[in-house]
Amino acid sequence: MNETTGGATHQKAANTNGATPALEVRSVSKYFGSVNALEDVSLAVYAGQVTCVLGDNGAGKSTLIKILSGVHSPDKGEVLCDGETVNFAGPRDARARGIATVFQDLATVPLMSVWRNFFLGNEPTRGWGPLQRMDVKGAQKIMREEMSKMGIDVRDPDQTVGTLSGGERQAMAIARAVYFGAKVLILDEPTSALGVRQSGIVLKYVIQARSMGRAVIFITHNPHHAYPVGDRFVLLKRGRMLGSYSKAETTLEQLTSLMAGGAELEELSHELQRAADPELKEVAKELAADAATEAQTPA
Amino acid sequence: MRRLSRTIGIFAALGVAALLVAACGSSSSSNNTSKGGTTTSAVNIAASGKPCSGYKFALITHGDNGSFWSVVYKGAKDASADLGCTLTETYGSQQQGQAEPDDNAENAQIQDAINAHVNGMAVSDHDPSLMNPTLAKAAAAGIPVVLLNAGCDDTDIAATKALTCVGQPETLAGTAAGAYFKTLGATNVLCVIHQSGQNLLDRCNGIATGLGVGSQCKTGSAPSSGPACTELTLSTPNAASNPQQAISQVTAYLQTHTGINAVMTLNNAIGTALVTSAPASKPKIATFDLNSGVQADLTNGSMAFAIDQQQYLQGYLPIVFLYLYNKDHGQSVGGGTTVASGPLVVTKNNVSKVAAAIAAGQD
Amino acid sequence: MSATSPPIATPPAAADERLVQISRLTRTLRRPELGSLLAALFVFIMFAIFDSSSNHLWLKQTGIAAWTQQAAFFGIVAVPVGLLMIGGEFDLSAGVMTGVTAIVMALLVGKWHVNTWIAILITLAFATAIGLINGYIVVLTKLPSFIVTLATFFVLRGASTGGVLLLNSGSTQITVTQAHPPGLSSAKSIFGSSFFSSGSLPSGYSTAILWFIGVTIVGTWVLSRTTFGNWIFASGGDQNAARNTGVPVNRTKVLLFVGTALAAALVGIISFTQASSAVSEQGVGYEFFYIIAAVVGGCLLTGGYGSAIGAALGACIIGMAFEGVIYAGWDSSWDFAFLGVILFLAVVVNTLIYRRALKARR
Repeated sequence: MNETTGGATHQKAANTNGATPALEVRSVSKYFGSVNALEDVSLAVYAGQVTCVLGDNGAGKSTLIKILSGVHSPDKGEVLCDGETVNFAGPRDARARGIATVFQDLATVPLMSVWRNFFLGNEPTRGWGPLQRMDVKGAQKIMREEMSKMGIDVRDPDQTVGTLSGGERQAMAIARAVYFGAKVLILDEPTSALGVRQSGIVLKYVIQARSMGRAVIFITHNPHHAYPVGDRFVLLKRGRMLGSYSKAETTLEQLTSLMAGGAELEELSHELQRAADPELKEVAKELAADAATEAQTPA
Repeated sequence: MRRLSRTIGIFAALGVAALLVAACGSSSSSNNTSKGGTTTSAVNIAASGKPCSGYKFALITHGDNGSFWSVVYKGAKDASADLGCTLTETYGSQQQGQAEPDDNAENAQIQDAINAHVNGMAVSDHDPSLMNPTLAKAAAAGIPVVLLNAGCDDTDIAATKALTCVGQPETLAGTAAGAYFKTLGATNVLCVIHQSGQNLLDRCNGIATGLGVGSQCKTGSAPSSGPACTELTLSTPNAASNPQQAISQVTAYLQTHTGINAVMTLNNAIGTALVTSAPASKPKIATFDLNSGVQADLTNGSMAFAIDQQQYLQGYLPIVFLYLYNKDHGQSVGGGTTVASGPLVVTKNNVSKVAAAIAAGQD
Repeated sequence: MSATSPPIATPPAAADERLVQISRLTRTLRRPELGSLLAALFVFIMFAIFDSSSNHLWLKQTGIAAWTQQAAFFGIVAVPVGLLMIGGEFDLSAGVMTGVTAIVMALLVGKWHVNTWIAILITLAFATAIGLINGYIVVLTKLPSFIVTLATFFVLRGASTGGVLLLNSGSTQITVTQAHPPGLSSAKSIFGSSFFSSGSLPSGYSTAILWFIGVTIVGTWVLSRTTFGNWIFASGGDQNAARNTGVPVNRTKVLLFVGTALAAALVGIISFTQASSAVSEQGVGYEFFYIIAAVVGGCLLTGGYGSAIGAALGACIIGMAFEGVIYAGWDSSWDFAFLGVILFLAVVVNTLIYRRALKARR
């Protein structure tokens, strides 16, 4: 497949005036026993830009996120934060450097209230020594403000996260990450479980985070969500990079067909057409039509 | 007839008991000179050597590791040491910390001892229907058996062909306690039961007999004046091991039944805890089984009396009897009925005599 | 933090005020303690009605002193056990620990003549060690804490019984026999004595009650007002989410195990100074009552939800049950049937509350 790294590097420099990426991985590989989860993957994300990581299930997206967020360290290659090579000691270390990850399961505790979840791990305190306590009122107030910026009115301060809808939980998680000064936001499949309207809200917030100067890594398997908000696109397939494009270098159709494995569908269709069985020919025609439609129709 | 032989048995045992207590109190395991003229041969032999060597005896019971049974085991060990017998085991089927004894395990242990051809066994017949046939096999194999603690009734002694049973008939102990309460003039008795077991119920029923109010201690609400015996079963968890919480229930009962002027506790931890809690109505308090706390309470008068089951003798005497049987081939003791190891009513007046035995864990 | 906001306005202030009024009442109704509070009131009133004593002693000082003392011995440990349950773990060794610590005190003071206050420090250090052992085995092996602490329970139980028999010449009760052991009377006045003695209540209220109240206040404050409390909820609610958010889950759990062990040690110290003695197997059997108290108090067995006050109320219910049956003149075996019914009802109420807490409001 096309390896556009050379041209892309030139493009990167042009886009960002030689700025260093907020977060970058170079040729990282990760193995679990005999499984190559990732092989020679590189990506970079800059402040004020969105890098989308596209790939189907099993592509290695979750392993990549775990490396970016400090849960795993790569077996080969390096991770750079603001241009310096780093070796995260764990997720807390990554977080301390301003890398916030919003996991697919949201890293929220459904039984706890929204404000407790919002400030989990970053509890605001008052007082000192044995009398140090959480600033409950302050926390509740800030949580309400931040959530209302997302368009969510949390009426009952002790409302549990379990009572929020999927989109609201995503919004809370993103608002939390942004509030706590994340410089890099890694969003793991934020729209995958959401309906159209809720996805729209999330995408709007992604754009907002970008316009506030954050670097966003947006992981998804839906190119129709990725394309509108992305500045760069990295495609993963079975742990390897299929390609890395800037927005100018690609179209939604191309991304979609790469994602849907359009090439494979076409091959299969050709094979079936060569078969004698008329039924199989019908199937082959349908497959070919599908491959074409995938590449053409918008969301 | 049965009552007469039982009474003879009791007196005989009390005589032996008193002497042995005195002997144990002063000599422990050392070779002191023997006492007095009417001592049994056991006491003499302690001074002169090891006549029992070569005889192997087994002690097999349904006991646990608690305060009662550990004294029984010590009795058997001391007798064996004094006489020079080999005690192959001091087995208690409840020793592993279970809630109940394991009769099948005990039965298997008896069979193992028969197979090992011991020269005699001291066994608590906790489940007669299960164990009597096995014990009869021992007799058939020429192994003498002395029962202890449980199975002390004449039919079991006959069925197992045992020499005798050394026991503390619970009812008898209760009767002695009831009779003593009567002499103190405190006859509205509350009998505090701390765990389930027929033996404890028998003690309470014995108190009723001793007070002369029938043969059963009643449950429910105590009357406002005696003579009467009323049972109170404690329900706090593991009452015998958590006496302070258990005592709250006794105190509450005493507060709601102000006519009670005597309390019988069936376990010394409960007894001493009740004394410490100093109930406002100042009833006469008594307990079963001595220990240093009970001794202190008896001495300062805060406890009225204690029933000493002398379970030490339930371990000691069977070994003596087995030794004598082996030595003299067929000496009989007990006349087909129980040799009672107790009760001994210990009060302020005689507590100092038993003090040394208590200190050595022999009482 | 954000310079511009998306075009969504915050709700109008007037509507806010009205909503806050309603939600305060509904908020109270949704608290996890509610079930146990209702149960406690119900039990109290029921025994007041069935009190068969001639002077209605249940409602008087005598009755109150009786059940509060029982409740204190359950409650001092039930509150930390509840916190640990909220944190997602169980401690089955807490009961036997109350006995082992009393035995340690009795041996130190009664047998080896150590100053009582030094003995207290040694006992607390011992309890901390056991708590650390429990905690680290659980978090490092990732075995269910039910099993790990059951093993600790057996080890402690065997050691205490065997040790006592060995060191105490075969008697299972260790009593202090000296007249004035150093430090015992001062320790007794702090831990094991009574207060508010009066003509109508010569024995007064047990000091254990003050300790119970203190432990409940500390437990409630830690759980609901401190960062550590937030971590407890998170560790029990979703360990992985908590870890991913940077909560030190392992450290939280280990500290909770140390908490239960120290509370058990406190009961052991109180028990020893009250009675100047200890009994082997003391405390065995209480471990399930701590759990019952916590569950009745609204703590979820699966963790992540509950309250310290609830566990304290659960302990009060248990205390009332054990004393109330005597005042009512019932056969004390009804205790267990009674506690079973209360447990069942409290769990039903608590489950309803918990489900409402999770229900979506749209």
